[in-house]
Amino acid sequence: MRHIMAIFKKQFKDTLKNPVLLIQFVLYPIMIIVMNNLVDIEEMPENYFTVMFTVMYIGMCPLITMASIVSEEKEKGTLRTLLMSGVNPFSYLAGIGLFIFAVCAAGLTIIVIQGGYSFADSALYLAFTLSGCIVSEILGAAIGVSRPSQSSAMGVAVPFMAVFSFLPMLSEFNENLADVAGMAYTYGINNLISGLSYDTIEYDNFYVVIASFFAVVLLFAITYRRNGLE
Amino acid sequence: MGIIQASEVCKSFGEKEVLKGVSFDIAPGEIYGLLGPSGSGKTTLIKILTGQLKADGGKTELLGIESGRIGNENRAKIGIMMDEFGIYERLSVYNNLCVMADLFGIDKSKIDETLKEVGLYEARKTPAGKLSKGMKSRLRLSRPLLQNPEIMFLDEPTSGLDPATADEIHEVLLKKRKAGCTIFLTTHNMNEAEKMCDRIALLSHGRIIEEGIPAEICRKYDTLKKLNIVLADGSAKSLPANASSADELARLLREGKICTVHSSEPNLETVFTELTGNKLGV
Repeated sequence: MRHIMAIFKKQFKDTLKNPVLLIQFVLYPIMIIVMNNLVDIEEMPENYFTVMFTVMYIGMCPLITMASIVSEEKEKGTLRTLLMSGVNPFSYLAGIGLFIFAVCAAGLTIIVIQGGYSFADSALYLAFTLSGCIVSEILGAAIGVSRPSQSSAMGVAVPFMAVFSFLPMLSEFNENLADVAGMAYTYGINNLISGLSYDTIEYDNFYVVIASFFAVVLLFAITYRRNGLE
Repeated sequence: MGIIQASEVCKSFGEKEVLKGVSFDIAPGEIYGLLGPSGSGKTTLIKILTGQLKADGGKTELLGIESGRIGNENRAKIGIMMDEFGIYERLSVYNNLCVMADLFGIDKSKIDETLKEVGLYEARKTPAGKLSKGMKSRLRLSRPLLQNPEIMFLDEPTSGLDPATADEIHEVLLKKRKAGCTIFLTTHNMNEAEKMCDRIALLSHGRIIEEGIPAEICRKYDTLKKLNIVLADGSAKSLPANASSADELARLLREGKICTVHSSEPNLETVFTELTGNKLGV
């Protein structure tokens, strides 16, 4: 536990000094607050911006940050320093993962508070979205582990991020795309949190999140077995 | 029984045999230097000793424990400084050491002490990425020092540093040795080895070709002692410092052709060159 907390603290200090990473965490919560307060179009679905940007946040932030942090530490040799100091690979990933999860949870809490949801709906919103964050983080970890450098990790992470972030929004314009999007966990979360505003939650959508969780765990296990952490 | 032991260590990368049965035994409190040219297997040996790499054959032990089985409870007793160990460039010097203090559960008050020891106290708030090369080396060294380890592995600790910075690092290491720390260092700097090491091993093509106290090794190869003569016409001549040169020297003296004569003792560089045909730094 001491190692996990040491990694958590290290990452907290490092993120404050890293504007590129910091912006990933704060961009969408700020955009949601700004758009909700500035744009008021009649007949716009309730919490439209909140839902749309939340899904983008889940598909982008944990995935990109996890892949970026792990691959940067590999590239710069700081990961080797940690491992040779007795940190085991899972403590390292848990420390980084916990940090990203905590910051995303804070961001999503701000979003849900300003979204005006009831207490029960807020709890459901956080449960749905944070489970999506976990899926994104594991996918980001798999990418970070599999790539030797930060730039090559970003080369792989960005297409995944684009698909998972934008597919739910784009599928509103095309039915065929919606069929494909049905396999994406972010689409499932999009449907779940959209239902919160109308009391029509279709819990079946959570199955795709669970299936995605097992799929990314398997992907991580394969990449870790093949590459190790270094 | 040694605190660091290697017995018949072998390692290959593909077809290339890097280590071919390396053995040594290092006593507690000793500074042991491994000398060899670049690519001779020095870093590979450190990696095997510290458990970063598995040997293909042979056995290595630290503190009486097999290298690959060193648990977390003993990690803090082993400090490692390698060039490839990165530093957190965005974090300050102080916060870089905070990471290590948190990992090992070390009291934060020790950080300032360590920074003063390596001469980085004034730069403690500077982001590590903005440090000069010499200061980065000191920061790398300060991490194992903070652990106050029983054993330190230093891979070319002064490589590329100016002589003044190298001297400061030597002073710090000699102090640690005095405090009972065992130091294993690799270098291709023979002056560093002669100044710092209680014992050295010369590594060439994956084998230890000579081992012992630096001065004794030089004495052992006394036959390499030379007479360097500057003649009156300005040209130079070198003769082996033994009886076979006596006649020639007497002749030159009689003819009044000698301007100066001085003898040169063999040093580790000449011994290594004689034994391998290669220079140390190559």
